[in-house]
Amino acid sequence: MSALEMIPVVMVVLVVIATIALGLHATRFSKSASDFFVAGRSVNVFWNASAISGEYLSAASFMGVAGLVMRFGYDVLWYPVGYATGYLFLLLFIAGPLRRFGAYTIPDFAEGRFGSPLFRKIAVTFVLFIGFFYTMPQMKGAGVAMNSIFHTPYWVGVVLVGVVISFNVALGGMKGITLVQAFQYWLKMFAISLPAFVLMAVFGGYDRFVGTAVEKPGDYPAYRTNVQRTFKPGDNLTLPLDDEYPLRFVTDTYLKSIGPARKPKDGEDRVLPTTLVRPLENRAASGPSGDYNVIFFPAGSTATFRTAEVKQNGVTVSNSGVAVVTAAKLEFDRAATVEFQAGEPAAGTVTNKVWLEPFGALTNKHGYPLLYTFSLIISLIFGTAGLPHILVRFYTNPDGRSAKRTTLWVMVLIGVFYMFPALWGAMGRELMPGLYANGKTDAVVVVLPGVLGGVWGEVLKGVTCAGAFAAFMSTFSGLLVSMSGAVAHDIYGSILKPDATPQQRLLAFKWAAVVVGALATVLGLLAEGWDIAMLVGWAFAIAAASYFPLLLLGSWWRGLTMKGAAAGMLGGGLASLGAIVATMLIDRKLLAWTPDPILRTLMEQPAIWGVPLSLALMWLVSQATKAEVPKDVDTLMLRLHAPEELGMSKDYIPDAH
Amino acid sequence: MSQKSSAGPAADAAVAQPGAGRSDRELASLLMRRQAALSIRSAAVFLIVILGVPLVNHFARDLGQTPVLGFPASWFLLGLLFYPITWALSTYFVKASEAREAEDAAFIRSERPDSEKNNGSDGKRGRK
Repeated sequence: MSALEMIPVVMVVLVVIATIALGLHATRFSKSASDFFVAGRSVNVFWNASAISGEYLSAASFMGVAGLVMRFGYDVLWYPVGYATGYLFLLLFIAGPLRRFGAYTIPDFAEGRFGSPLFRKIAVTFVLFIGFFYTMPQMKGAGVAMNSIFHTPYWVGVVLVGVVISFNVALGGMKGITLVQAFQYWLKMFAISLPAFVLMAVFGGYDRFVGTAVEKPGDYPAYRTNVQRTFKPGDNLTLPLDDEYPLRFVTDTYLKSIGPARKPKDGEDRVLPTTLVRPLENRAASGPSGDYNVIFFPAGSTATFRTAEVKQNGVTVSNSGVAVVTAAKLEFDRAATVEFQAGEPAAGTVTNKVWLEPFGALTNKHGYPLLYTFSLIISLIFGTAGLPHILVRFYTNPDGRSAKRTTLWVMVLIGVFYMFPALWGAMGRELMPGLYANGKTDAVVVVLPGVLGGVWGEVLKGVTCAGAFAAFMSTFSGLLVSMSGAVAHDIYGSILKPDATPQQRLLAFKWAAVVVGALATVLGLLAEGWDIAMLVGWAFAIAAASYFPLLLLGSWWRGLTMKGAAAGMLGGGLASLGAIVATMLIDRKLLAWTPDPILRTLMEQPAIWGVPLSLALMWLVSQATKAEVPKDVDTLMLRLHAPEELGMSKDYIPDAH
Repeated sequence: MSQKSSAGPAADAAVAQPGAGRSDRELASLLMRRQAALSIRSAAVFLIVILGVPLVNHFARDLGQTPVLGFPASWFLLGLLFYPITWALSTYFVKASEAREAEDAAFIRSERPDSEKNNGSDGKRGRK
């Protein structure tokens, strides 16, 4: 590794050290159980808003959204919009009453609202469930980022983040991480904005990057230099629709097939490799085991790929008078490196028009883009308002009024942040289209500053890498506090040993942090082969159909009974989970079933029926069990809604210093 | 559970002298009704905007692609303008919600002088 390449390494190490140091510093003020679980309920609006924002902006926000915008374009703008505006629903319906309830964890609310220890058990399983699904992608992000920046094995990043954060949380609890997360918000904001402004100063503004795509709707972005890409056995490479597309083979290359990128319809003639590439003479060779044929290109050779007209019985197929053509798709039989030529259109992406306009490859994959978009919006908005590790932070406010003000400031802080990922996606498309070819768009934020070259390129790369690490660490710390709280307070302190002293609870929290942290690290190691977006999607869809309805109706409807709430949470949450698991099995071809496209869309994005299902179950079952409305419900509702100055508020768990 | 036996002095007073003021249930619904109306109205405005965008994209595609400051209108709206819109809506909500809480608190206090005594110095905050 050259001295220049060491710059980002040093900057990441500095951020990790700063995180440990800040955590240790805050630990000195972290003494009581209340400090550990809810930071002594004394976090002011500025620090709390920064800490909530710092916790919320995860690997998915810092790296994932930019990568998805680069890949799919306009449709992905819904993700940051949904992530940010979910807080509006939190503000309108949940923030104030939840804080006035004044507990330590979200299962406390579940139990206290209905006076039912049984319901706490249901609620706590959902906290752990959602928490682990949300943890895995953070861990995976850390492993992948370390790997793509520093070329370390996958496990190094996972273990690094797991150990550092478990240590911090066990030592300082909620109070310890509040300061760390607040610091990490400002670091992330700096890391995503400063390099973006430098890149814009050099290459042109946001409007120019988008404008280039507007001007040439039929084109693809062009490579700025020759770009080499390495493919693994089984990888596919789809070339752009270009009449003459040269490729140089850097290593000996064995292709399993060269076929049409467009899926042939019934009755159409087969598109032969000979029509898609020349020269192709003497290219056949035996596969590794000699039992099938592969197409061979020796190292250093070049070939020109072409588009082919689609024919049926020898006659060209046309669509509204225009001949239908297809580009070539290569399937690799063994690992190989190929070189794309400067000035040629980028492979592996869609045309500018498809990228720029609504209802592209992401939402239109099953043919019902409007339905897909609506369900995605509902999942993101209501899921945000139902994530336990976010909700638990509202207890750290001094009172209900400051809880609302905090939420408002969170929306401002994360809203400013979320203007940037789409900009990075647009810049990446123009400046580094080489990332498309083998699906490395996720890394765009951490590698793009490299196009500046020299020391400054590396320094800015270091800045974004440091921001990415801040993202993994702060989100994981919040998840770990929420899950350790669930284990120490809800399982140990309320179910196993209700008479535990505050000291015992505190000790239980520390042990829970270590054990849950270790478990999350192991799960992170197993998550390498799973899709980040899939795991985060699970967490959101389950939260939207379980915790959001519970908190909404629990805070605003006195008639909700424990059985109603449990039926809605379990019914809505598990049905959504089932739909998503089935989708995953179908995608991986583990389940041989081809549902109708509408059903497929509804299974992949279940919120549009999952949220109403959960709400309806809560209402129906509560109506049927009317007699079981808790006797003290009116006192409780008053406590949730009375302004503090009336003196009716009382914390469910009074502070025990 | 001792944590739940009391909802503060004011609620205790209401239980002790049912004739002197409203019941907890009436008080709670009084406090919740106006807040809920405000929340639902704000949510409706927001939902119309956010769910309207895909409809415009679908049924008036060209409108969404009209250039605005070098961006297609739809990109400009979702990528940049949407965030300030939610800030404005939240600011309005927080202000209106706090004003309503203060009014309700003052109203309840004026009806129930007994709760005034219990809260002493806090009493001025609820009035404007």
